[in-house]
Amino acid sequence: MTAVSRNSVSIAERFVRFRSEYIPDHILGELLAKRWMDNAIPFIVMVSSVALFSIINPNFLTAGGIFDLVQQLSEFGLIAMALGIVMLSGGIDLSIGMIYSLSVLTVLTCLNVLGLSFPASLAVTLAVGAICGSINGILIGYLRLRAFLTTLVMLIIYRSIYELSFPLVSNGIVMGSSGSSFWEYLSFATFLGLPIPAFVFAMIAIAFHVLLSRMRPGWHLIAVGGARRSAYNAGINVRFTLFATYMTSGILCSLAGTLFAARIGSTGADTGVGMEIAALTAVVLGGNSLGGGRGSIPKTIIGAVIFLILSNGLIRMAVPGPLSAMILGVTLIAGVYVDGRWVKHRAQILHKLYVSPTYFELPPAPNTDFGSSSVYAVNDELRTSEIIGLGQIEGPEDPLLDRDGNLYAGSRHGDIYRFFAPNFTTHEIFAHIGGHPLGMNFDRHGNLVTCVGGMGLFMVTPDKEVIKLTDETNRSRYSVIDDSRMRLPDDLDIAPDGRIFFSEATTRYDYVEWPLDSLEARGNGRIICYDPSNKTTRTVLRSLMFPNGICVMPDGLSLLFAETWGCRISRFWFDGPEKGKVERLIENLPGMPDNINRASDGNYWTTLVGMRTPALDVALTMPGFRRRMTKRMGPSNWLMPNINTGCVLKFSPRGEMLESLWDMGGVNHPMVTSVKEHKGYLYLGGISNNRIGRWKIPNADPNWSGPESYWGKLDA
Amino acid sequence: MLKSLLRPFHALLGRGEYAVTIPVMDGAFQPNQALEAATRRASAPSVDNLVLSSESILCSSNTNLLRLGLNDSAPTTLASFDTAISCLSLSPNGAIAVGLEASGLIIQGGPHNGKVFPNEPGTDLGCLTACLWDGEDALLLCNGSSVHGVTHWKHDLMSLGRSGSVIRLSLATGSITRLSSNLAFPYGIARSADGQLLVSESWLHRVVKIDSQAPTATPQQVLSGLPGYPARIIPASIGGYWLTLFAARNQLIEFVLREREYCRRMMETVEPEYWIAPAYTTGRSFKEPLQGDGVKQMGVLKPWAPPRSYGLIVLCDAEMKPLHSWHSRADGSVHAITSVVDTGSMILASARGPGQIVELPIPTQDSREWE
Repeated sequence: MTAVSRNSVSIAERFVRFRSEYIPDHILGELLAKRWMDNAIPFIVMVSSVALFSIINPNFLTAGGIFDLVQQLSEFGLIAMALGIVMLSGGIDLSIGMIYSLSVLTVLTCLNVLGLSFPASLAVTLAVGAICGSINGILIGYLRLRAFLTTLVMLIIYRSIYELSFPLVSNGIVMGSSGSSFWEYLSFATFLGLPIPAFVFAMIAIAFHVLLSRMRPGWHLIAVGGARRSAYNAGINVRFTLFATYMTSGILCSLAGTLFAARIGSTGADTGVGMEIAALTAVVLGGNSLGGGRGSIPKTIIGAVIFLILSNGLIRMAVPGPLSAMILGVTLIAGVYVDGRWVKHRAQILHKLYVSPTYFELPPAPNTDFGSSSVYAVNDELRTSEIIGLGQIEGPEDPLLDRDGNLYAGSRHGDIYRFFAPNFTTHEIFAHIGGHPLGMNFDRHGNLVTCVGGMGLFMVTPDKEVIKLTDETNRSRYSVIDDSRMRLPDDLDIAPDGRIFFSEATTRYDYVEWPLDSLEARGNGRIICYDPSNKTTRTVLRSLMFPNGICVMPDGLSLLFAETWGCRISRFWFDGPEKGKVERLIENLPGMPDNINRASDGNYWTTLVGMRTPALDVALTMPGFRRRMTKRMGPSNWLMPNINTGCVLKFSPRGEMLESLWDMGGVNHPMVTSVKEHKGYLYLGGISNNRIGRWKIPNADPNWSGPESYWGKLDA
Repeated sequence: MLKSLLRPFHALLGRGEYAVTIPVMDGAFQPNQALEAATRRASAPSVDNLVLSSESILCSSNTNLLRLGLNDSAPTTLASFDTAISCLSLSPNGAIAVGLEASGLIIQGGPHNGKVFPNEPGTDLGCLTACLWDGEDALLLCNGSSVHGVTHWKHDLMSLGRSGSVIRLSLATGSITRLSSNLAFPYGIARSADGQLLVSESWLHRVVKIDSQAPTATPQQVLSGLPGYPARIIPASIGGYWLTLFAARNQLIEFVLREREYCRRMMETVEPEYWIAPAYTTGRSFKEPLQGDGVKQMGVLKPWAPPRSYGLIVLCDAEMKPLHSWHSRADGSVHAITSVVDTGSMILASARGPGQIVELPIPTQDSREWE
């Protein structure tokens, strides 16, 4: 019956398999995780509004139409940027329109009435903008007034100043003229068919983009906008940052005013009126968050373009002014609504789309029944183990013994413990690293090298000095996510020439999220090599299913590695004539293999950190089931490998399984992540256990130790 | 109409009937370890249905009918049958009705002594889960499923069984009257104060009231949204009812129930004891599925881990409103309570998972914190 039904599903199943093999679902989530994805929606809106209005208005995409648009954008874009950076800081500036009109008045007065040179006029104008912005900045940044109310009041005050001074100079502006050739140039010249202000604008935009996204003041600004208190606690001068933001906003407005004055050559009673609401619409349409902390210059420019296209289009279509204002108002509200939804649900959508399980079929697991003749038959061998450090250490993933028999183990508190030989009843904190030390080994000089979850590869010298070896490797060429930073270095081993080979279990999830990787069952992990001779880090093997244990073979040319979710152990040649070759040594294990270490008899120890369950094996062939599972409920309810049971295995270099050791009741060692042999004993660690086990190996070489096997006897 | 239009939308987003939310154990269901701490009175493998006789209790244990004195700790075997006993009931005059796995019903004692009602097509006697005397000449029976036998209850649950029925069997004539059908595994039956029948409908997590005089009427829901799978119900000596829940609900199981294709493949290729399904007991094999919070941390299994098996007894008032509950949680072992008896001074409960009979004191007037 079973065989028949397997056949009947096979077409559907083949499709699922094909799909999971050839359609990289996971890329979607990785793309969405990019910060620049926030720009995607505004960008699409911009492109579609360009398309729409070029259909409605055939003149729109002509050279003249584009020239007009760019000319307006140069001024309006600066205003939008002025508001954009203020909103990025979590505030708002309603007075931008009036600073702008004051600047228009100033520059024209300087040039036409006072007859100043262009540089002097520009300096005065920018100073006016800076002063206006500084007043806002002092009130909001230092006196901590509400941005909305303050800038609303300043809008009225600046407007009053404008209206009071405008009649005094209006005649002079109209009658006079500037002798500045530069002013003429700014007003009328073109370059490459575009107006000069467009290039001014482009340069400023690029400078601000670099400032915001790549430089310290910009990061401070975004931090203040994102979480003011946290920014303060992180040592950022919040008050000054806010002050500087408003001042910069004022300067940008006065620049925009200068460009406007150059284009129009005069000013009127309504200059700048309604500019704040226009800029606000543009900024919001661009996808800048109203709450601060999320936004950029490109977004602001996209928003400004959308707004200009929309408002120009409405004018061209002869929509009456009030109706047009209403339409733009509705657009603003819609933008605000979408922004709110997006900010609220972005993480959730991303979370739902990021996890991308694949098809993975395993043959039926080998027999593990008690009393059966299987090499994996459950037994009680480990029940006789002694317990070390019960309740003192939490999370000893990989125990390690030095030449003197002292026992080292990492803890989840970020420490490396040293239990003193021979009784292991006393201990000290050998080193504090900060992250959970996982795999550990000694190098030739007795330095303890360890993979630290979430941090990288570290070394502790015999003098307890902690040294970071590496936390970065070469970025994969076709990876969407930046996989250069290490997220989950797991186990390591050291080649005779000192090169350190270590596994990074997954590049898609952080240390605490590893169960998600088990649900994906994709080759998300890799093996990395750190060469201490030239301090370089290179990825040597990719697309492995949670590579975990690493053990260099005595030939010095190859290593064994375990793929936890793949339930298999392989051999990889990193040197010699077969360099680059990978050979599957053991497949279809009954559970998930973890660390691999040498045994005294020339064989290898590995452990099963958890067991396969039949229900999980079925689920592995149904990616959709697993994906929905992650969406419908929280991690506490997800189906997992049974990591409440584990065992120790010994296998030969040729891949024959020799024996299995179990703690059937699972009292002391429900899960075993690593074993190390030392002088006739086996030391057992477990990543979520609070003890280390010590088990006497029958008939083992009582003098064998790891450091000696790797580096030989010490010279006396 | 609207429902069927919304279905694909709900299936995509996990809303409506596709939501896997389960009732929170709160209020009367606030977890405690009272059941885990209960006195272990006796062991009997797969102990199931308990009934109170004078000075002793009778209980079913696989194919054996056992007697346990109220002060004893070792049961004695009264009778053995060819197949496992699936339910028991004692008449006021002491006749015993014994429901047998897949083979029907046997009466011992009383005027109908020795009568056998075999399981034949159309008799609704193939999956007897609970039984109640209606006078001395008739029985009210819960037949869990017309498709699966009692031992295959997991198959019935995972295939969304809705084929159970409540019947009245006249012992004199052997005639059968269906009082209600298309039930989702009726698993317990008791008489309500107004003379009607309270029936626990396990797969729908509810208790319904059935009018024994009007067989065609729709069952009326009296208690719903239970956080577990209800089993047998008996009247409590302090008023109200004792309701047992043999397992707790679990989001993963609710999810699997909605994933029909996965469910089908799992039922085809995996042994039932390793299914993602409720169980009488857990932790016996590493082939059992494990959920995220079920991972032992620092050597400890957390009591709030998502349970596959659970122990739960609920005291309800006369209107079936839950008042208080006794728990054995994910880290405990007194799981799969399928039946209780109330002696007036204590209750004895059968924990089918570990095969134990446990004793709990009846809450005194002072200790009823819920009043």
